[in-house]
Amino acid sequence: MAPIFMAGCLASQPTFALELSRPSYSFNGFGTLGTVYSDEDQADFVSSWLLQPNGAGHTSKWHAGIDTKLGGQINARFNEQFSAVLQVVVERQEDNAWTPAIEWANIQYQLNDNVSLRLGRTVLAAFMVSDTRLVGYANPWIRGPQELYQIVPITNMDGIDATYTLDFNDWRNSLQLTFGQTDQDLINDGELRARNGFMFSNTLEYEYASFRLAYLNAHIHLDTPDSTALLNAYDALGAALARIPGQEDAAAQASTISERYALSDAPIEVYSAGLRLEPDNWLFMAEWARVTETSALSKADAWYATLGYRLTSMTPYLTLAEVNGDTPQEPGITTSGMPTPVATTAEAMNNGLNQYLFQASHAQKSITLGIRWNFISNAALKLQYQHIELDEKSAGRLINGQSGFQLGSRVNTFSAVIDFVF
Amino acid sequence: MNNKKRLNRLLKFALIATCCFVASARGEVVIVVPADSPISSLSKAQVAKIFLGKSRRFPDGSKALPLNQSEGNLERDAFYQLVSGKSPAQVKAHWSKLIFTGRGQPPREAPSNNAVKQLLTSHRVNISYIDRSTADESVKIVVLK
Repeated sequence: MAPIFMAGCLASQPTFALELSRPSYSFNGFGTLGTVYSDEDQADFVSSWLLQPNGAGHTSKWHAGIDTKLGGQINARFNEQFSAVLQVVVERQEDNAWTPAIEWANIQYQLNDNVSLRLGRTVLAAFMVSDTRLVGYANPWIRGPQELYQIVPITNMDGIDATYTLDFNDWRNSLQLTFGQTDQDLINDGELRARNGFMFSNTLEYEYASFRLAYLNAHIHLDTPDSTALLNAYDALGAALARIPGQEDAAAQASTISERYALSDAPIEVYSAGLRLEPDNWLFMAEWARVTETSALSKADAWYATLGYRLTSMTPYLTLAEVNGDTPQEPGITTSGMPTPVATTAEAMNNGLNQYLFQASHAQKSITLGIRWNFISNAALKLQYQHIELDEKSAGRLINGQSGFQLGSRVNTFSAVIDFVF
Repeated sequence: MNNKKRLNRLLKFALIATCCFVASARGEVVIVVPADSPISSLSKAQVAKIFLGKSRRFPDGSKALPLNQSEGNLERDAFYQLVSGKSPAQVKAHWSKLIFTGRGQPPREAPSNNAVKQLLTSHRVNISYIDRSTADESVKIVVLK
């Protein structure tokens, strides 16, 4: 009976041992259902300052379009070497519409156990959990600390990436190189283009610890109607001043300013380091990042630290985070000797320019208290309270500041989400 | 009357608690490979790597194909706790991470100890885990170093 029985087994489960060499397909999904409250009614709290047109606080006290999203992913494995991934995510876009967007679409070639190549649209893993930033269930918090994670607001690049993984004893090292570019529509009809993007990251893992170093370099082109109007005004003023005798210097200053602060083919570099420790029931995560100064974007340093403790299905956590920027005090153009109406205009523009530069620095710090509850096996409920202190000359990560909005405000937010995977 | 109700409830609780205790005490999970597999001992970390998608090979360089028990099975929870110290939710979060970064798919699953044994023996590269009491001559218990 044994041969018949075994034949039966083999017939009913023919793919098990062979599955590595046969084409297979699978579908996975993830999503978040959430709402955010903010007590600042003169500005909006958003999860991305470039990609969400409005949020909680001013637009509405409670807003459900900040964390809510739904993603689906098709995985295809053609053979042992080739596989492909298509991930589509529906979330609120820069035009306030819930339009599905292709987050990833790439083909992967597994050269051997150590090397894999991906071609197509892949994750831009600027920081430690960038690759899962949309998958709330895989992250401890509701959203990555914005002080750091919003330094690089784009999530993917079109190009090629290579990963080299090396195991030695209980250590594991993964080196990842990415080359690519991206075009991204922004709020207020803005546009971001990144060209010649190069990303390097190296992650070393040992037992419950992992340590990551990363470097990102790209040439960016960022246009928003506001910044374009301001810089065009300097160009126009420069042209007008050039015709006024004795104002040649001011004219030159105006065109220098316009050139200096235009984010056009501007080289940008981001350095970062991250540490993650999970001994027993503890979770400790910390990251630091520096973005170099380029045009209107000041040099900025950001960091956060999260401490959590797992109590069976509950994990309370605490996060401290800060971003600060060395915004240059820009004197603008010298108005002495100008005809009064021109001087008034120039002074107003100088003020506008300084305000723009301060706002581009986003300085703020915050403390967040939260709890994650794995109430069923594929979903987690998270509650999070965040107290934000804006720098005295900055709107922080808030947008849509109204006339009554005070730079340097204190803002309290409360968020509740359900993260799920299927 | 009230006291009797309370006593009944207490008894029910005691019964449920005992069942839970028995259920959890019953199982001792053992790592198994087909009887003809050359593998005889592994460290917890090596087993964890194979079952967390971090390695596709045994330490001797031969191919390893892990087989999981279904989610919710006590053996599965006990197994991951034993080799990796991870809770079911942590394991789920770990696989979510791999899946949604396009870096891997979780191992194939079998619904019971018997189903594991049937599938396991189909090829020498397979590795899984079952309750010790269900181990038989078709499988070899891997010694944990």
